[in-house]
This record gives sequence, C-alpha cells and structure tokens, in this order.
Amino acid sequence: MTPEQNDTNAEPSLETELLGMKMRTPLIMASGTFGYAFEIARVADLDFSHIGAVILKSVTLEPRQGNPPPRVAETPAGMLNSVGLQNPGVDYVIRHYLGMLENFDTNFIASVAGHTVHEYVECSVKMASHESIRAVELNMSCPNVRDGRRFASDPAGAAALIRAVKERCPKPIIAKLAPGTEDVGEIAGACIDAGADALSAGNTYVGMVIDTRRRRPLLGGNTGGLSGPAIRPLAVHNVCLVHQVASQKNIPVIGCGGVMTGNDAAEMMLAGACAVQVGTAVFTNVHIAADISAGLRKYLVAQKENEVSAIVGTLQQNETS
Amino acid sequence: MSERKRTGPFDIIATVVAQEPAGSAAYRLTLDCPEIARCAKPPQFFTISCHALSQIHAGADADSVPLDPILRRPLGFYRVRPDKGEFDTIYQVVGRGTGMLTLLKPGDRVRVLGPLGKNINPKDIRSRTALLVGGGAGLPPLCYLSEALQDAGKEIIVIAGARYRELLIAPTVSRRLKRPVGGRKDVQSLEPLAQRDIDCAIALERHEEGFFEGLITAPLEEYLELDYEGGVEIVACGPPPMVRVIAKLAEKKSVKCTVVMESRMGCAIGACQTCVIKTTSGYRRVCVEGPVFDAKDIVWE
Ligand SMILES: Cc1cc2nc3c(=O)[nH]c(=O)nc-3n(C[C@H](O)[C@H](O)[C@H](O)COP(=O)(O)OP(=O)(O)OC[C@H]3O[C@@H](n4cnc5c(N)ncnc54)[C@H](O)[C@@H]3O)c2cc1C
Ligand SMILES: Cc1cc2nc3c(=O)[nH]c(=O)nc-3n(C[C@H](O)[C@H](O)[C@H](O)COP(=O)(O)O)c2cc1C
Ligand code: FES
Repeated sequence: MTPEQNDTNAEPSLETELLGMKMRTPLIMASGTFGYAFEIARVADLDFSHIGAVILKSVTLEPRQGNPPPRVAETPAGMLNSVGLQNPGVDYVIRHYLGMLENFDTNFIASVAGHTVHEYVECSVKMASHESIRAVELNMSCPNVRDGRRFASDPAGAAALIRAVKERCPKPIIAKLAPGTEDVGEIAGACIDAGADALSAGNTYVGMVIDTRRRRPLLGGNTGGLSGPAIRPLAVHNVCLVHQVASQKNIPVIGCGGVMTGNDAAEMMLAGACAVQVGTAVFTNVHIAADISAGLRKYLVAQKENEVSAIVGTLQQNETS
Repeated sequence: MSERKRTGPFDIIATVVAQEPAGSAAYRLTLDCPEIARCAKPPQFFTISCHALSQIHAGADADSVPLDPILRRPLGFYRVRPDKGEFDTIYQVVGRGTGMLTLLKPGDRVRVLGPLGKNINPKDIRSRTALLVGGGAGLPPLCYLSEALQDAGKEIIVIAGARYRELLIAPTVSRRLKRPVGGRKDVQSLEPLAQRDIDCAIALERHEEGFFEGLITAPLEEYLELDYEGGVEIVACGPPPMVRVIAKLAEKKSVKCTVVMESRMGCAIGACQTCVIKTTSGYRRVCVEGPVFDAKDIVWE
C-alpha cells in the first residue's frame, strides 16, 4: 500500500470529548425521544456504540400527568408533539430507571424542567448525584407547558436560573435554549456569563394543526412543538447565531433540530456545533445513529478530514455586499 | 441468541412479496420478514415506513431516509407464516401515508418495527366462548386472533360490521351458522373464517341479502341472549366509536370485554409518551401497555 492510499483509506475518527465525557461519536439522542433508554433498548440488536450520549426524558420535581391526547400531529416533513412533560417525577426516575443505565455502554445526561428556580435546582441536584449521570441539561424551552419558555426568553431570568443551579449542582450543566427568539445570542451570552458549561441550540418551534372538520386544534393541548427535518434550516441558522457568541467564550454548542443523515450532522458541525442531537429521526429508525455515523464518516473521507472535531465551526460565510 | 432477542421487537428492513386489493380502498400487503414472522402474536402490531428504500441502499445518504411523511404507520397482522418468514397485513387507505403504501411493489424494501404491544394469550380468555366483534381495519387482526384462539380450543364467533359490503376486507361466502340468531341460518361469512368453520355474522348498515341489517350491536345483542356453556366474553377491535359502543353494551350486559385500542404514535416503543389514552389509572401508552385493555379500565371520552 502506498502512503497516499493509506491516507485516503484511513477510517476517520468520530471520537469527541464534551464536558469531560469521552464520546465515540458526536451524536447525542435528544431528550424526550429516547425515553429513559431502557424502553428503546428492548429493540433487538440496538448498538450503543454509535451513540455518543443519551439525554434522558425531562424530569420534574413532582410527577406530571401531561397533556390530554392526541399528543402527536404529523406535519410536512415533521411533527408536532404536545406531551406536556409527562413523567413520574425525579424520585421515581432515580429509584426505578437510573439503575438500568449501567447496562448500556454510553454516556447519560439528565434533563430537568420546572416552574420555579427552586424546582430546577432540587431536581438537578438529585439527578446529578447519581453516578450514571455525567451532566444535566436544563430544559428552559419546553413549549408544551405554561411558562415553559419563560427562562429562555429573558436574559436576566435565564442567568438567575443558571447561577442558582450552578451553585449546587455537582456536574456540568447545559442550557437548552429556545429557538426562534430574535435575541438568542443575548440569552446565550447571559447563560454563559452565569456559568453554563455548554449550550444546546435549540428546541422545538411552537405550532398548531387545525382539524378543519371539527374546527378545533388537532392536538389535545391545542399547540405543540414542531420537530423533524421541517425545522432543520431554522435550527442550523440558530446554531450559527449561538456559536458566534459561544465561540468567543470557548463554550461548546450542541446543535439540535431536524438531523436525519450524516450530511445534516455535518451542517450542524460546520455551523459551530461540537456535538449534534438526534430526536425525531429515531422514530423513523431506532438504529439511525449507526446510519448517521456512517454518513458522517463518508463526509469526512470526501473532505479528506481525519477527525470530526476538525470541521467544527469551519463554515465560510459568503461575501455579501 | 438470547430469548429476549428472538421475540424482538425488531427494527429491520422487510421485502415486499406481494400487494393486492382487498375490498374497496383496502390492500393486502405481504412482507418477507422472518424475524417478525417468527414471533408476531395477535393482536400485536408493527409500524411501517411509507417509503420504499432506494434500490441501492445508500447507507446514510439523504435519499434513503423518509422525510415526508416522516412517521411510520401502525398496522395489525392478518396472516403470519413463520415457516415461510412472511406475514400479511390488510390496510385501508384513509390518508396520505396509507395512500403511499399502495405504491409498494414486489421487491421493494421497507423499514418496519415489530412486533409491538401486548398480545392476547388464549389463557387470558377465561370463558370457553369468545365473541370477537369489530369492523373496518379491526377485522384483519380479529381474523388472526380467531385462529389463534380456536387453535387453543376456544369456541369462536365473529361479529363483523361495515357500512356496505364492499368495505369488508375479505371475500364473503355463503354459510350456515352453527349457532343461529335472529331466525337466520344461512348468512354470508368472511371466507377465511368459513374455511376454519368459525361462525361469522356480518351486519351492514345498508340492506343486502344474506347479511344482518343495522349496526353491529344488533347481532351482538342477539348473541349475548344465547346460553354459553363455560361462559362467554367479548373482544372488540375496530374504529374507536364502534369499540366504544361495544364496550358500553358489554358493560350493560355485565359481560367481560377486552378492547384493542388505536392512537396516534411517535416511537411506538414506549419512549415518547405520545400515544396515551385515558384510563382509570391515568394516561397509559397504547404502544406498550396496550393495544389490549380491559374495557372497564378505559375512560371513554
Ligand atoms: C395498534 C394499531 C393497529 C392498527 N391496525 C390497522 C390495520 O391492521 N389496518 C388498517 O387499515 N389500519 C390499522 N390501524 C390504523 C392505521 O394506523 C391508520 O389508518 C393509518 O396510520 C393512517 O395513516 P394515513 O397516513 O393514511 O392517514 P393520515 O390521517 O394522513 O395520518 C396522519 C397521522 O395520523 C396517524 N393516524 C391517522 N389515523 C390513525 C389511526 N386510526 N390510528 C393510529 N394513527 C392514526 C397516522 O399514523 C399519521 O401519523 C391501526 C392503528 C393502530 C394504532
Ligand atoms: C415526542 C417529543 C418529546 C420531547 N420531549 C422533550 C423533553 O422532555 N425535554 C426536552 O428538552 N426536549 C424534548 N423534546 C425536544 C427534542 O429533544 C428536540 O429538541 C426537538 O425534537 C428537535 O430535534 P429533532 O428535530 O431532532 O427532533 C421532545 C421532542 C419530541 C418529538
Ligand atoms: S408511541 Fe411513543 S410511547 Fe407510544
């Protein structure tokens, strides 16, 4: 084999490091679409080796019964969900679910939601105290509960929340920002200054589907969060905006929204994401992380890159006059 | 391979063996998928992508992922042939996704997830006789269930409802009822049930010779009047309004009723909490805690 051949045949590495976690790929399963991992792990031959990390379904301090059904409405190239944070509460999740995580060979990140700063803090501390949890994502942007987005739409509120959690939480924290706010850069800056260790950009967009025959919203909760490939261009732009701010402070950005293929993941990473969340895509194929990894490797080969981290934030904007 | 792995569920690529019309706006789709065929039990279900994979599977290339519609459709099993590694489903065309399924042709490859949900084990049916009652898309899974229960030694009577004859999912043949009701002896039966010597009473809303006239509850009420040695109970599967009416009638007559429920799904594997229905013990996921429920646990809206 000539050295040249060797070069082009070398399998590019997808390994990355995020918040002290060694990840075999930059792919992170998004909160709410992968449950608490054990549900999907029932599928035969599920291979965690393509999954860099899993963010567990958001938990709250008290159990939540969630919104009335229907909770899902399909939309062009996407879907609305209105689950309303149904979960059995943080104590139940810790007692019954977290113990199973050690059977799955990947990193786990908790996701926490709440109505008050106190709720976020207590919940984060409880989840972060478990040995299987490597970091905590604060879901500051859930569109399906009343005032769910409050913390992500006001820089002062966001900062106060991050500061309070940071003070007590023993593990790194990730702020999950709401997309589609004009001033996402300002909020991102406020979160970083308050001590966020990483930023997730972003979440679902609020939408509605109307059942014209019944003249009512199709979803039991009236509105829902739009996810899937329909939001990808919005999400990529959102990552660009957040990256502009975060790169100045050396804070990692996790891209999220509509990723289905290796090329989609590459878009997110070029825009500045050092890791990429995969949510709705898992509904089309629970093994999708394997396909996305293969696609990302193919992209790196075509670009003559040896390591996935080399492409992060390398987007060249076109000159405009 | 461990026991768990062999019973799935599997997220896997199936190959289309055949597709043919089955009644008006309904199709029978035969898939080659040994993993699922080996362990699918009635009335479990599977989900199917509305898109065939491109012929040359391009791995992670954009053309091999479904963009629109994005969600897989839940469908029941009609016939399962574990020895051949094949199974059949019958689906009604009701919207865009099922419309796209009609385009699948032999040789196409399509992503499926299954078998999913709880099945009805013959020993869950305590009575000697089971009245399997349903209509529309609920009939194919009921046919499969009737065979499994009959094989386990149960007496089976199927009561099927439709608005008009063309909506039935299988050809009909004339047959004598073993347990006649309403003064009727000779009636039409669904062909697969006739082959198995299973009594079948079909109610059509439109008058037609050889059928019971009216809603499905008409023959059901008459069957509930008969005496059954070893007891009788109901399994209902079909459009939600029909299932609800059957459940109400069962409650009035104090007959045990098991219902097979439908709901809109995201993951179909218990992770996303979108497919819930209201029960007396809170919201329950149809995809893993169902689709089989005891009718008395459902809070009917
Ligand atoms: C457990 C189960 C078993 C089923 N078995 C069968 C079967 O054997 N044969 C058959 O013909 N149909 C069956 N159905 C119903 C079938 O899933 C729907 O008719 C189908 O999803 C409609 O898709 P569409 O794109 O044509 O309709 P659209 O209305 O365009 O679909 C839009 C969205 O709503 C969902 N949806 C619409 N109607 C239903 C429904 N009744 N149940 C669940 N989701 C729905 C679709 O999946 C899709 O996500 C079953 C449903 C469930 C839940
Ligand atoms: C059914 C469903 C449930 C979700 N639940 C949560 C949740 O509990 N917490 C959260 O932070 N995000 C939740 N999300 C949002 C996803 O984590 C993700 O941010 C969003 O779906 C966009 O990514 P995608 O297009 O790859 O799905 C949910 C999304 C879906 C589709
Ligand atoms: S469809 Fe996701 S939990 Fe049932």
